[in-house]
Amino acid sequence: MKKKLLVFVLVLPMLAILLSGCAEGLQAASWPSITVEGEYAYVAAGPQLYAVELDDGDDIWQFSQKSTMQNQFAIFATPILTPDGQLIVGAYDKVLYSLDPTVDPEQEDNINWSFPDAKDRWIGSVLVANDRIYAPNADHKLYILNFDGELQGEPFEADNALWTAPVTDGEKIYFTSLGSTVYALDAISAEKVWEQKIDGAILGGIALGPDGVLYIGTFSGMVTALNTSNGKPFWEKQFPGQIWSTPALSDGTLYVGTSDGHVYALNAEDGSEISDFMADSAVLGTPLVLENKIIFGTELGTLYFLDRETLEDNREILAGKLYGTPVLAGERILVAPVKGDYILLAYDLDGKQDWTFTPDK
Amino acid sequence: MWETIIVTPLTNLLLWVNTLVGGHFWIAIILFTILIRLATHPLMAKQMKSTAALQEMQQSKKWQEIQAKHKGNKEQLAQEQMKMYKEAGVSPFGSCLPTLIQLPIIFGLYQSVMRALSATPLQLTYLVKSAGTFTGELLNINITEMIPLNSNFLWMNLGQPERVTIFGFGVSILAIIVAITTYIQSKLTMPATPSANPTDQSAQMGKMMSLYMPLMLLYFAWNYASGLALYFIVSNVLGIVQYALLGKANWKNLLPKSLQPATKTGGKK
Repeated sequence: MKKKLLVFVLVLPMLAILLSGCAEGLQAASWPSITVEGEYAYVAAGPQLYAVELDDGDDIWQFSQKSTMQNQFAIFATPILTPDGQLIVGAYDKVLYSLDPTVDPEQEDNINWSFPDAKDRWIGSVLVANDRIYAPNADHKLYILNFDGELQGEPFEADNALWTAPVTDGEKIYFTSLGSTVYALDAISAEKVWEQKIDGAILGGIALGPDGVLYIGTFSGMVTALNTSNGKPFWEKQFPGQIWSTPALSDGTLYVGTSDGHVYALNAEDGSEISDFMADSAVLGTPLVLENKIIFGTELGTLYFLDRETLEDNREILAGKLYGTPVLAGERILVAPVKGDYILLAYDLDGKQDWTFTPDK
Repeated sequence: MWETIIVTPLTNLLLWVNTLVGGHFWIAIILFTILIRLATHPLMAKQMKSTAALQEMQQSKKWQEIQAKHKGNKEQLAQEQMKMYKEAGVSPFGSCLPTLIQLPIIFGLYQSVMRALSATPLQLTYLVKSAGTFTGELLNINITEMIPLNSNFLWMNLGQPERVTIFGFGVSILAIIVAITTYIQSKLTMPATPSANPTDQSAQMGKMMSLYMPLMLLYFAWNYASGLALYFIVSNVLGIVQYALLGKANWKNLLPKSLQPATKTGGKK
């Protein structure tokens, strides 16, 4: 009986930990993101940040940190390079890291500095502009740092979590909160210029037009065009599906993916619909718009290469889900699926697979 | 299967309660806990009845005699004990099986709270999928209007472990309250009359659980989202109320031994 009692009291908590850990595999889970610079791609894919050679998909280095029970380390926010060569990555352990991308962390420490003062995860990527790093955190605050990682003034507190990267037109910094609010801060003083509530939670970022217009899609399926000077809406268009990502703007046309599998092309001037392509499942990432093609992934793992004029498509079926945005790297398209067979895949512009990346260890 | 039967329905139920209380998620957790407790009350009442019968039997003269008679022969002792259980219509597991049955509910509830709070984009996709299932449609969950959930409660974010800085150290007030209420509940449910038999296994188990459970739940509450700690506290308080209303709470167990009134131990009259 004593043995049974001992087994009971030991097994019970282990079972509890196991079952609670089974919730979505890992609490800190999202989809990978990619940055391309020079000859390398940097892939934020959860427990590791990878540097991958663009020519052949070789593993250059991997960066990771230890997790604790309260702060699990994971990087999903898009890494951003500063003009002085720092790679800025925000992680789910609430720390913002500046890395030297030329240094292999297995050989020596590649952390320039770290900023640990945020109270929640770094989900959206930073904006580098005006010799500053504008860093949005899920603790509702926009932190402004210099290139040495020092906080510049008080962080700006929004009404809800900040999940997306800010944008700037040089005069103002624009960003969105999960609580349906769009903010504009003065780029130099960081004082609020305006804020505007729109319809629906905002999961994606802002597409900034050249003519003083911001384009935003919301969780309620609304696409809104706002005036950058005062935040007032120019036009709004409602769709049945949810919008999870930043609209893509190209040559006066706005491209938006929705959760019910549509990719809409809209006239950026007035929101009128130009075309509507039906994919095989949810399109949660921002479409990549090239001169002749639109490239995007779907929840079922299909990578579409759509002719921009005719909407004829060829497609590749991958293992995993394609929630993120495809990235252009020279003559290649890079994609990083969720729970796929590979961390990163490269295709040519016609949709033919070039190489795949799986880490060495 | 776990997802379909437990997590998704619990998540949708939690979201539904959340809409009833104007989006105040902390109230939703409290109401949800009350609902779960009410639903599992028959099991709990059965557990209490079984525990009481077991304790009474184990403190009877006949039981003590069997223990003494077959002290050196474990097999014979076990046989005689099983005979007594059968005659009394009591199961030796009757006191812990209902608790074990409630465990999946606790685990499922934790997962549903975490899913509802959706602290990351991928978690939000799971939440949206949950809302689109049969139970979500049955409860008319309109996830588009619900996001983001209001996860704030007093100084806490219900999706994060709770911390207050005291003298430079991060301390979880909620976790401490969880440990205290768990300890109180354990003490109240222990027999009023301690067993005279020093080798009484169930008494030993009860003692161990009254120390072990508070520590285990303290660990969980310290390291996991504060929404879970809130659930534990409400559940413990409701448990104490349930025991009190059924007349099974042994309040004098909360007093230090020196202050407890003297009682005769063991022996059925």
